[in-house]
Amino acid sequence: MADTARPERRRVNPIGLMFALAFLAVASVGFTGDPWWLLNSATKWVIAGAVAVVGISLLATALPGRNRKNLS
Amino acid sequence: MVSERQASHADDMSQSQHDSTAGWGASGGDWWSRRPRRSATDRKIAGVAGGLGRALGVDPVLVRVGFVVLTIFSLGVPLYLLCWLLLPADGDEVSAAESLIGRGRSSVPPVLTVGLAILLMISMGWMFSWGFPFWPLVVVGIIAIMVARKRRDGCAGKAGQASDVDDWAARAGERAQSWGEQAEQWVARQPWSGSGSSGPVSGDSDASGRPGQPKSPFETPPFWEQNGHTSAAGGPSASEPPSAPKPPAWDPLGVAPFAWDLPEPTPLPPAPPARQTDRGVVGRVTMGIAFLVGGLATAGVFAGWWSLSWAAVAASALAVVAVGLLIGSLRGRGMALIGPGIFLSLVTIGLTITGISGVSGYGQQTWTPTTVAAAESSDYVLNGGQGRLDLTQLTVPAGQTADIDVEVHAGQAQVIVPADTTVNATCTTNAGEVNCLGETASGLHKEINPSHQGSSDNGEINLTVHVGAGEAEVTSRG
Repeated sequence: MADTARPERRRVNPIGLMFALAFLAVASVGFTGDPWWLLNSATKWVIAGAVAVVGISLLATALPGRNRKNLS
Repeated sequence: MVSERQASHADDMSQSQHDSTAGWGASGGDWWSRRPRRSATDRKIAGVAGGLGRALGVDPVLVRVGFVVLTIFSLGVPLYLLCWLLLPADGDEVSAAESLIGRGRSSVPPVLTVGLAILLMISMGWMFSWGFPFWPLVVVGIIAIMVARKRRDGCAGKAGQASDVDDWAARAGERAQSWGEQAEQWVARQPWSGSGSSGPVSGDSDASGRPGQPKSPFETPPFWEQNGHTSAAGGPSASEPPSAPKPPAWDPLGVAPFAWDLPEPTPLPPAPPARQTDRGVVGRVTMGIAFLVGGLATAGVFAGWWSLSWAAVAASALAVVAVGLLIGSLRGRGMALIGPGIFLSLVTIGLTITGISGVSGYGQQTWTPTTVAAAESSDYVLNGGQGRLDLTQLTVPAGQTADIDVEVHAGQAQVIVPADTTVNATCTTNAGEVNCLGETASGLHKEINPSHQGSSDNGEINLTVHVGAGEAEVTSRG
């Protein structure tokens, strides 16, 4: 019964998250002054960062304490 | 009451008729809300031609032919995409572009809207970067304005006809009102109306025992008053709460006093609460900080405190919006920041492509160096406009090399080299066209490296020409 009174946790907005990351990438282009920096020099870093974000997300959602906390 | 409703209904009818004849160009103030809608029935792709044809009163096939003709001038595709984004479809609250920034509901999915916007940007960049003739756009705009004005004038002509309708509606309303008043007076004159001011009044009681009413010729009260609605004294007792009379089960002539009473209009349901936007605390704080950062960066550039490029200024505000959107997204909010973010992204990309910085270096500039030292020591940089470097009077001694750089951020860079001197040129552009020593290229991120062989009696010129957005041109002249 106590769980029903607990305020519902807001879910992450994936569209907003995607746009935020895209805006950060565009902002980095503006700071460097090179419009092709993101496509040439930073491509490997972008790919590595995307893979790292996916991995961290999987790890964070697979943590056992998180599920127990949500169930309680 | 009935007469007022009739009169009001007549007014509404005339108003709606007037509105229907007015069309979308009738009012200049709310033209945006009266803009054409994409047709939901007459459509080949998105219903743009069907909607425009319906609004302009022409055959949609002609509009489609117009789009095809405009496509020859590289204008049809971006114009169609623009209409797709800005015109709402039948049944939609707002257009696709407005829906993306949370103004209402649209049948176009947000992903498709973003894709259309990207296609529009690509087509617009393709159209404006390669010598697009602007006159078709001007002609289309003039034709659209003329058609809209013609329809509005036509509506003004029809306004005279609409005034006849208004007069007819007013007369019908007055007549209905007089009929209603006559009916009310007739009801008041009836003995069962309960009005003591009219009709024969006597001190006798009627069959139901109510005082002040004419005596009934019947011995028993009417059956609808025998069901306990009235007490034996002829009226509701003081202890009983007043209850609404119930109509008799069988009353074909409607003789019951309340048989003609119309039910009171039910109150309108309360309006739904306004749609909660996502522009909460995070959005307001983010936009406030973005404005502060952008304004401070701009002021610093103008005051000379720092030498930031304008792309970096826009990127600083965009970074603030991105961080705010990131925080808001983790809390399930922040959708309202997507619109400003897209706008700032376009500005940032445009300024990055050009590379404009500072507040000076605009207009037309011509340089004419005569010595190698003067040519190498000068900075041939222009923010916007046309820069012309004339090297025909430059003499490079044999065995020497002159390294010359020319940079125009937005506009045209024109370099004239002497024909009797060997030139190794490197011409680059972020977006535009390069035409160097007979070699040409156009598009995004183009670079060519032509060479010109001159006399062995002279030295060499290593020339680098860069244009952010525009045209780079290198020619030789003897």
